[in-house]
Amino acid sequence: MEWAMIALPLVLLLLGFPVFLVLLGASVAVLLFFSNDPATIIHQQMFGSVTKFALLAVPFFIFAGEMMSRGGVSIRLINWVGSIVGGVRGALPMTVVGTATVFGAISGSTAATVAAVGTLTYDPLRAKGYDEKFASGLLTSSGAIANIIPPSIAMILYAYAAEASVVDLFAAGILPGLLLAACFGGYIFWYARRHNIRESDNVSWSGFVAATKSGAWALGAPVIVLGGIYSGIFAPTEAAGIACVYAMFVTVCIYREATLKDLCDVAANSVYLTAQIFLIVAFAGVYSWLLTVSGAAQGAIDLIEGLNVSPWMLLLVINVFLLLVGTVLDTASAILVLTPLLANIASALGIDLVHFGIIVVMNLSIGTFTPPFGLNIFVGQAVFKVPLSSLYPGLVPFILISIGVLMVVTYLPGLSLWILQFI
Amino acid sequence: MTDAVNRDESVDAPPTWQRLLFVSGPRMLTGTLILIAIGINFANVISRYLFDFALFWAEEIMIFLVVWCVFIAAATVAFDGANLKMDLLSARFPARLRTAVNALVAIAMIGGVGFAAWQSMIVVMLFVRGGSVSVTASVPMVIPHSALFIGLVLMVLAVVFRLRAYLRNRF
Repeated sequence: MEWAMIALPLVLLLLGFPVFLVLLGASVAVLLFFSNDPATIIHQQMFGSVTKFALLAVPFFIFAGEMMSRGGVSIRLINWVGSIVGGVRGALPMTVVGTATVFGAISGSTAATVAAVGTLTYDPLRAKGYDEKFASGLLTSSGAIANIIPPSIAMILYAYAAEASVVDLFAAGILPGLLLAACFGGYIFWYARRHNIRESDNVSWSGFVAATKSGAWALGAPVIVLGGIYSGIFAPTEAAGIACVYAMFVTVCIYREATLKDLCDVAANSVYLTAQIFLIVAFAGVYSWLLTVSGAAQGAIDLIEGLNVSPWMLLLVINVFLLLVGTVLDTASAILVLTPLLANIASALGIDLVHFGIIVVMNLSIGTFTPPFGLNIFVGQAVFKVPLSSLYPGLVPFILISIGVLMVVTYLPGLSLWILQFI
Repeated sequence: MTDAVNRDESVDAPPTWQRLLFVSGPRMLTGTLILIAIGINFANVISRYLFDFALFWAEEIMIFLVVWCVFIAAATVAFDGANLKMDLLSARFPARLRTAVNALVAIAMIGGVGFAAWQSMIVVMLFVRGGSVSVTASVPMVIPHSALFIGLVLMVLAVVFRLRAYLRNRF
């Protein structure tokens, strides 16, 4: 049976079959040839998988993020962050990182963040003297922060697959996300100094107040979403729905930069993206159920336990494995396919599932901008019109910094979990 | 060569009625359904906190709306050939092997999804005969379960209608 559960999906995946079809193919093979369970279990598990209330947050957060990115929110966030860090060396790239962090607290999508922030800042970065490699590398990699800073669609999917708490995961992502942003900021400062780029602007209290006034509605989104969740007013799914209404109100009624046609487009697009993900959710439900009842998951755990590896070593192996997976498979698919197995193994070795979730999400986020095939590389290439020969070397320092932060997050669980005591 | 490419593109372009059935129609329908779900969520939160009155049916209805959205849109995704996949290796296959793999994908989509649709139909028929309803909103359970059956059937039809596109992996 192992070939049907492990080898067949691997072969189909490498052949380029759609991920949902890989899971369906493996499940049908097991049900037809190795199991006495009725095949109607496919429908039951699919239905059970996509009817989880927590998963409703996914289309809602996609909708809110896309609505905000279309409706003039990005430029106001850039101006606001710029009014704070404008006086330091490397002000504009630091503004990019700061904006990606705040935008991530609204959209929860790395590709949306790269497109929204990159479109507005790439040319100004070049005009200020940053070369093509640095500018494109910075913008492509900064989007990954959005996956780690809550709310995060990747964390919602992990929480579903590992049966962990979304609220805990959101909180646990805050410090690692801020640490990553701070390390990017440190590198930017060093880079600007080394290349003697002096592009800082004068900042003033009045400028900050004006930018805050202009961006107040945009900044209100993360306050409402995260404030609502952690004050106990909303469940994460409800907060996601409120974020949609807030995004519609701000972009259509306040900023008047999105039209009703945009609204309909965004609604249809968000369902389209959700369908791409939820189809995998549905068939991953069948596959992971079979993984459990067939004993394959327990077999993998027994195998790992039999090797007598320490959690420290196991985490290192998983980190390397996930970094590689993240470069060739999109974050959602990787989480849904791998989490049922990896979370069981991590749990058996006593690793906290919330901490493990942050590790998984960070790994796969780094994968989104790691050559050769990270998704955001192609978003960046399309947005900045930069050849891959320039983009790849520009990404290297940011990849190294991210891996360094990942190691810190991996081996200092307190960095993720410390904040949970305040919830 | 250029002519051949141009001719292929025109052949692969789906007729208007297919775009209406699999793209524009579903986009309009699912966009409306998700906006209704967002509206219900908002109404539920507002009524709970302002009027101390929870819409007890809201959660189930939102879930059922999203299930319908997902499986209708899944047909659009299949029609566009936009299912998430890892094409790291397959993009570098020699032309013949790539065509063979494309054919396998199309066959597996029709066969595998068709098989899942058949299983769905069996379950839906059980709900038709049993007549059970959802716990809080009292919605006949055949309605949400049918979304899977109809969505899977539409996916199979989408692949059949776009077989040439699937074989060439050009949409």
